[in-house]
Amino acid sequence: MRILVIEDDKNIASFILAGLRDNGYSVDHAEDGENGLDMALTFSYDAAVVDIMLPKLDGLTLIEEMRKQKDNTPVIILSAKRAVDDRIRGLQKGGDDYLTKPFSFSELLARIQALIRRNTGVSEPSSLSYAGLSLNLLTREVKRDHTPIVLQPLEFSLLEYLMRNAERVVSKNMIMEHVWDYNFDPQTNIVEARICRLRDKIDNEFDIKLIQTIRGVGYVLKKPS
Amino acid sequence: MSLKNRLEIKSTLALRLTIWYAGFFSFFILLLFFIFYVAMTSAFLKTMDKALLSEVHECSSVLSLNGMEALKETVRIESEAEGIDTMFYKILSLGGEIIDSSDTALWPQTESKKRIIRQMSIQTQPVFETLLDRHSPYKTRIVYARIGPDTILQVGKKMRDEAGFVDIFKSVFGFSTGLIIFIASFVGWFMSKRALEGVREITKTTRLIGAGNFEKRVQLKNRGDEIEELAITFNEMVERISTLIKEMREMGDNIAHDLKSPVTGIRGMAEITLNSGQSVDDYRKMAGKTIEECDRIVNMVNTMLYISETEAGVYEHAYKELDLSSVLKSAVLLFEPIAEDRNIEIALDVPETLMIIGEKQMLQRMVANIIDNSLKYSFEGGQIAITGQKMGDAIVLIFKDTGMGIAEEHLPHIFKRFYRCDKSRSLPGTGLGLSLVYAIVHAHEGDITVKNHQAGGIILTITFPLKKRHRNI
Repeated sequence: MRILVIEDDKNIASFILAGLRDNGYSVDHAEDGENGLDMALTFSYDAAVVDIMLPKLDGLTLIEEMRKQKDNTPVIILSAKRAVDDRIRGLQKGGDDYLTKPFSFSELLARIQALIRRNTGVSEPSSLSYAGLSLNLLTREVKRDHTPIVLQPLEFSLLEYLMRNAERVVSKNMIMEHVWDYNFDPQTNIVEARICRLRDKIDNEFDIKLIQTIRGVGYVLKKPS
Repeated sequence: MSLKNRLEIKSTLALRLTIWYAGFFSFFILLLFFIFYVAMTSAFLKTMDKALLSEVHECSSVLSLNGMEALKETVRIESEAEGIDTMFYKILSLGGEIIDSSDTALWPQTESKKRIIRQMSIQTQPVFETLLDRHSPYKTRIVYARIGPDTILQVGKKMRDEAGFVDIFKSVFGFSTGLIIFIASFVGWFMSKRALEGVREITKTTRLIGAGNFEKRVQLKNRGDEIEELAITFNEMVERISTLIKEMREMGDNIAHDLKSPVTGIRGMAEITLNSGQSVDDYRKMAGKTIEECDRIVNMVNTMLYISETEAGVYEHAYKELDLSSVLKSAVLLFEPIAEDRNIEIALDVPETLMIIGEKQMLQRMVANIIDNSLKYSFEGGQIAITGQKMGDAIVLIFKDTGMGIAEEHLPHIFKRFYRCDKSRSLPGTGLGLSLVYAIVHAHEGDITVKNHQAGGIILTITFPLKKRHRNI
């Protein structure tokens, strides 16, 4: 998998590049719009990450030009502006997703993977499974090592999200936003409380604890190493 | 150039008003004079013409009764009686030859007009003309009339009466025009000065406020006029602006404070880890702490932006009809585990549906923020009661908790940004939660009040008017 990152801010570019390489992607980097457009049109990428404010050629024009040249590489737009209009404009110009700075790397990674999945046409699975834990999306049955587990709807969607992102860290904000469709910063630890409930049902009776807390970052569904 | 100098120049409003006033006033007076003049002169002319015609009649009857010689005699007597410089007579044949005339030595310009003589041979109507005499101050009115089969009488008379009137008129006119313009200017100046006095006062105050003296207000004189209204509006505006400036200053201080503490935390943790960190675990802990603190800052900034956007109506185009009951139900569900953990009961009492025009994300945030806040300040074993219902033309939401309540002195301020009841700012939170709730309620044209109840805890009431929004769909 090869990803093009067009970003002029050195700090941001360096952490995106390092993070993507750590996750096994090969990454190319362009520091301005013109160079980025050249690279996008010359080579074939599985996804591109494009900053809106770029020297020489701005991100939106770049994407527009790519689409004109029939380049359908999925693009994630990075922007410091979070106004709804900017988001709409970005998507109209041919962007596939829109992420506002500052963002967490795990969020970017999850979105890149979702875009690549969508683009390569992987069909939606009817069930998810990881390390003996299985979740049927149609019947909404959850089993661990063949023991049925009863979950509340909110717990079910939380587990589904964790399993879809198995072995990837998801932040509290990502859970609030993607699982419950709430975009706010709680002062009480509602995510933690919910994770606790889920742990009680999934991990308590088993020796291998799958749901792990990564301090400061979030949670991950992963076999302990 | 200073404002004062600019006002000294001729283009002040007072001067312009004065000129307009004096100009209009004088114009209409002059128009009146003119109409009066025209009416008077035409009246004089009519009288004159009548007099001339009666002369013609007299001569005509003398000619037909007593013959030409008697006419000649009459004419001579008449002109001498009137004065030979006042009146003259000429008896002409149809061909234009002078048969006889009075003494015309003093009438140098009275030769009979051939055009008129020719006209007289066709028509019997008398013809009038007016002559200006270069040597005399008076105009002459002349009539030509046929008084016999081949006799034309030409009679002229100096218009002494009219000239007398014009003379008087001219002097009266000259004098009164000057007087009128003077009075009009004076009255205009006085009136505009008086009218603009209030404006001057406002300008003076504005200059002081512009120089940074935000406590100044325009002195009201209770006259109830438009200027007074302007002054009141102006004072209200200054009041609002100075409150805003004060709030912004406070907010700046608060932002600085709220940024300083997480940054200090990050910096301190990094320093300690660098100095004495031994294991990877120490560094992992530092990285985790750094992310937590950064998230706090980002969340704070995002919430601030969200409040500004809400106030600016950025999300207004996304308003649609939605069910407030289901928003409340799902929010209660969201907070269930934490409420259970702390043995707090959340009781929700809403009808099956509660339709409202609004933006879902905003209303979700509003409800979540309120419940979150109540949970934060509730004691173990407490209760949060939420009711929602339609009352007349409004939807009323009531959030009642059994928490620690809010001290009376804080109540008026709790919707202000960054306002925190605990001055040490030691409890978690940004002090933005209720400001956001307030902004969202107002974006939906609703109203929010908060008060303590006797049993302890607060009652928060939100009212959304239904009519206004629903009219728009």
